[in-house]
Amino acid sequence: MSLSDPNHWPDLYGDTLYRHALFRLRDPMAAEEMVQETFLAALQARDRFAGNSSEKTWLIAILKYKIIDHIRKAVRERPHDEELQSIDSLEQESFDGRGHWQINVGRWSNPDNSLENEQFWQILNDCIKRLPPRMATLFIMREIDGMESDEICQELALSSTNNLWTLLSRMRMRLRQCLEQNWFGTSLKKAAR
Amino acid sequence: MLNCKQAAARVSEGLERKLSVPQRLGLTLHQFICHRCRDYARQLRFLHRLAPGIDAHIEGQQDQALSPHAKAKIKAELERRQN
Repeated sequence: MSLSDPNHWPDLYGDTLYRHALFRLRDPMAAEEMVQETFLAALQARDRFAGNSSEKTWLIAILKYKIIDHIRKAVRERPHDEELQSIDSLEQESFDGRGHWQINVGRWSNPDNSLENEQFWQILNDCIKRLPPRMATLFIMREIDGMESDEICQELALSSTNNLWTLLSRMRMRLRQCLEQNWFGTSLKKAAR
Repeated sequence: MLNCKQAAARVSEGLERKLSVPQRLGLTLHQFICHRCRDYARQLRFLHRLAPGIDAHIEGQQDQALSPHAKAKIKAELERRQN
């Protein structure tokens, strides 16, 4: 497979790349910048395009790399470990003094059915937006991109995997709570009616 | 015996690395008597397998698009670099 004329890339893939960038960065200006950087990097690297993936897949891979680069630079200005020093409010509210749940953990019936529902993905997207920005980044790196602990620690300047695991646990707790309040909990109530 | 707070942290940790046998045993025992922690664990595993579906959602966001201005700027830059 060979590449199409680079001058056609913005019309062919500009919006797709922009949507991926916006999902990852939540910042329209930065997202536009990432799209431009991706096309320029692709232009330089096009002789090395191996042709074993589609043009779109190749461009998205470059985009993800550019975004990680962008995040790394932002992190250098303010390391993630700071977030660990603050007490996590949800973690505090969730458990009593003896470490027992004091919030309800609902039963989600057939959550996999939701994967077919576009509304579910919209709610998930909203819940990711409500996470503190660093936790949203963590969700994307770990749960979407499947990056390994060592790699994430390096990109986010976390000093130890223990810190990473603490943050991941808090992030998952928040996301779970948000999905329960805005999706699974409401469908439970609907089903009961 | 683990409490729920510890069990919740351990479930998340279990998605990151293989827990030792005693750690897994402690968690299993706790979940045997605690339905909330059992549900919590299932739900975290659900969050852990969202990746395959998300690209279709991202790319289907029709209301999100490069502004005409940005697109024109990018096109001009691409052309410039090829001359």
